[in-house]
Amino acid sequence: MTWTLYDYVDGHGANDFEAWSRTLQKPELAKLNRRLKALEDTGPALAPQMLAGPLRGYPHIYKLKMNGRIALRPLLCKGPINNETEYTLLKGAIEVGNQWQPASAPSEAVDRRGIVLRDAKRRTPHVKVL
Amino acid sequence: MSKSYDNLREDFIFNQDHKEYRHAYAEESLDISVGTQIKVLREQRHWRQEDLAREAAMQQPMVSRYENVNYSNWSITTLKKLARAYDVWLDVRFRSFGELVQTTEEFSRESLQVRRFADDPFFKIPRKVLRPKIRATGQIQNTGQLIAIDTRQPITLRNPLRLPTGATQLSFWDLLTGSGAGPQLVNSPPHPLGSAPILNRPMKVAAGAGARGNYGS
Repeated sequence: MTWTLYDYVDGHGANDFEAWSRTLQKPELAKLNRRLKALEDTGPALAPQMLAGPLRGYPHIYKLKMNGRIALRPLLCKGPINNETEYTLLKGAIEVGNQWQPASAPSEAVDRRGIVLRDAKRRTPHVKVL
Repeated sequence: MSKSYDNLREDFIFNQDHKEYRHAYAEESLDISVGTQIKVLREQRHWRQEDLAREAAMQQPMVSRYENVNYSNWSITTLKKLARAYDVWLDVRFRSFGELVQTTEEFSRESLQVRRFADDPFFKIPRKVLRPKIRATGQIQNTGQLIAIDTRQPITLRNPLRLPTGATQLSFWDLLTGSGAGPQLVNSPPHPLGSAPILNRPMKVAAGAGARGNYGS
């Protein structure tokens, strides 16, 4: 079964996750794209520990862990419209020494999930950056 | 070709001038594949992590570490240990990026499962193909002893069949002509005649004739 990926968009339709992806160097971008493809193709059940969460203190929010020069930690949630077939990418972030950058990333992700839950138009099919 | 297959191919073409893109993609694929396959093989065998740890002579927390797509510090030695535990073989090869696209598209639980040797259909001989057991008999000319060999391959005994001067026993190869042995016998190490039955009853082939083995019980 394949899963559908969405990106959160703000009130003006701007895709913040896409914009964050465009700031990444090619190696980080490749890692991100490979992880997202695995998530899209097989969901959470097959690849062990690909998704970490829900994060303590931030209900329904997961992080996608990628190691390397930069510890990419994009934040996402299942659904939230259909929890069995979708993921929504909520916020691009990294971790440096167990600290979030930006520091507000997890709480922003919680807020954004709530927004999408109330208005399904506040997301768009995931835009892959190359 | 699937739409996804084409997309991934196009991604690589788009980034063809960025070697670091395809290599980072490949390394990430490797991490995902290794961590996932270790878990898939364990689940295929209905093992717990403790079971794999025991079979591979390692600690359970190490198994947990290897079954993590975020881990990438495994060694060939470790992977060989796991292969042995699973009774499969480890294949480490350099491959083209075209194959990476194909492998990525085929990534699934089914594609990662591997049968252990005992369940490998390649090594299962269908009953209809299995030759009936045959008994080749003959007599050693210079001792008068009657011998018999049970085999599933037609064999031809030497004619005449003789005990070499000074020898007290015959090797398996001493019994055979050069052309009569079946393929599975070619690689068989010689073994003393003592392990083959010596018949003390009338033989089916005339004494000294050697000749073609009889097909008996």
